[in-house]
Amino acid sequence: MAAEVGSVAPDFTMPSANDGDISLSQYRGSKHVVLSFHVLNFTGG
Amino acid sequence: MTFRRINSRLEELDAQVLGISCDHTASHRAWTLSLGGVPYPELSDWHPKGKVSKAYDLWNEERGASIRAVVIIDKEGIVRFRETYQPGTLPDPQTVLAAVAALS
Repeated sequence: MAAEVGSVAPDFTMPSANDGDISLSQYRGSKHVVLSFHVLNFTGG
Repeated sequence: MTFRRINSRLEELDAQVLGISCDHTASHRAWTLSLGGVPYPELSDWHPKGKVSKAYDLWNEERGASIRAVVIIDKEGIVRFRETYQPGTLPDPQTVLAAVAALS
């Protein structure tokens, strides 16, 4: 399984709503990162 | 919106929240406005659609959408916590806080 506990998290760069492009790697060495995947906007999921 | 309520406590624990879905950034902007603002970035896994969700094995091909999940990554880039949620269920804020606190 991809991105299982103990494995290296796949890096990514994605556009954000208000903060430009954001990459996972920009937090390396400075912040823990909590990814909150959700289903679709306006669905409460 | 689990993470809006605990975002300041997560910041104290040196953690950055990133919201992710396959909606377009324009939809994210409308959505965050409708919520009165969200205190962390909302990212669009939009092009190619679901690419990042698939890399994390969090993609529902039938729905064409991400699976609800929380993935916690430490400062060295290692996955330290991973939980998925059925439709209609949400992450427990205390579980997330405890998982992040355990990293420090």
